[in-house]
Amino acid sequence: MAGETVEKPRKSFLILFRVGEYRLAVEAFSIQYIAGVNWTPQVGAEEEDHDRIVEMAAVLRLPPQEGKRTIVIDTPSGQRGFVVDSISNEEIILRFIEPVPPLLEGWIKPTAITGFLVEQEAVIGVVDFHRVDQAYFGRMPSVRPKGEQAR
Amino acid sequence: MMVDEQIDDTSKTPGTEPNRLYFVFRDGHEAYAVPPTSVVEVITKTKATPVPFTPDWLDGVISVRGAIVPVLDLFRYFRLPSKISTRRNRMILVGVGPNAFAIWSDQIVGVETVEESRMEPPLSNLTDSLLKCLSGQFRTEGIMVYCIDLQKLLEETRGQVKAL
Repeated sequence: MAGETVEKPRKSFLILFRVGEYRLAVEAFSIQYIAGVNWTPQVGAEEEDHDRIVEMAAVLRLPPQEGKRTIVIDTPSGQRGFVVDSISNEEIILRFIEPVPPLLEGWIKPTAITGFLVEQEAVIGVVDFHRVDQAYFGRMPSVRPKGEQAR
Repeated sequence: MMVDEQIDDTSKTPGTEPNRLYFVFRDGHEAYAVPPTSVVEVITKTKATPVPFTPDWLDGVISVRGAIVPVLDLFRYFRLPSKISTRRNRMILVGVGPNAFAIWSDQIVGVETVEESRMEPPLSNLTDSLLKCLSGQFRTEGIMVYCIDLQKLLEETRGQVKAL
């Protein structure tokens, strides 16, 4: 359309991970670090640990998965950990991120997928965990009941 | 992906009824038709990559020469009562203005000329979501073919996502 700015692919360092059937990626600069599944946040005594650990399988409405790693982000209210199945053995890769087509952007809700990379015929969605946190955390706290120990 | 939609899909010989051209394809028990000018290409694919946070009728995305293309599952979108096809082996890549998306198919029937007199009123047992996107229907070889208004389909899908 005339006058419309077309978003171009941009290069970024990415970490690939899996949650159930989904093969996804996250931009390395957007996270604090990756921990094991037994991660606990650095919070004060008055905070509840379980509210800061989110099972991505539950967010994506998948059956419970054997989560092995935790992707930790820093939010204005403190650290938040997102448990995923696994992290790619390649660790950090440098790739071009394709923008989300405008048509598809209207179909993604919440808008937590900010781009895609094409990796050997497969298309991998790039997740913005801060947007996931904003969209879900308020109405869906961690699925771990109070008092349950992390594995 | 832009599609030239200035080509007239109708043809008329003086003294005869207008004809419409349709690109007809099947997906399981259902048959659909779209204007041939909206068809960009037919892609041999059997799998789309699922995308989280999307409706169930969005089967995922594929890469077509580097471009990310969403794949719609018409069977799921129209909430059809028949069984989903297990022989899906291709996708119809269509363009509606600046938007491009793909639709599952397991058989390409071809381009058919349909006279106005062959068009039938909608069946009473159609699902609401299909009725809203139907621009007509006709029979070919004993099969009812649903003519899909792709622009209307896109408008309706956006409305569905907002309602989530």
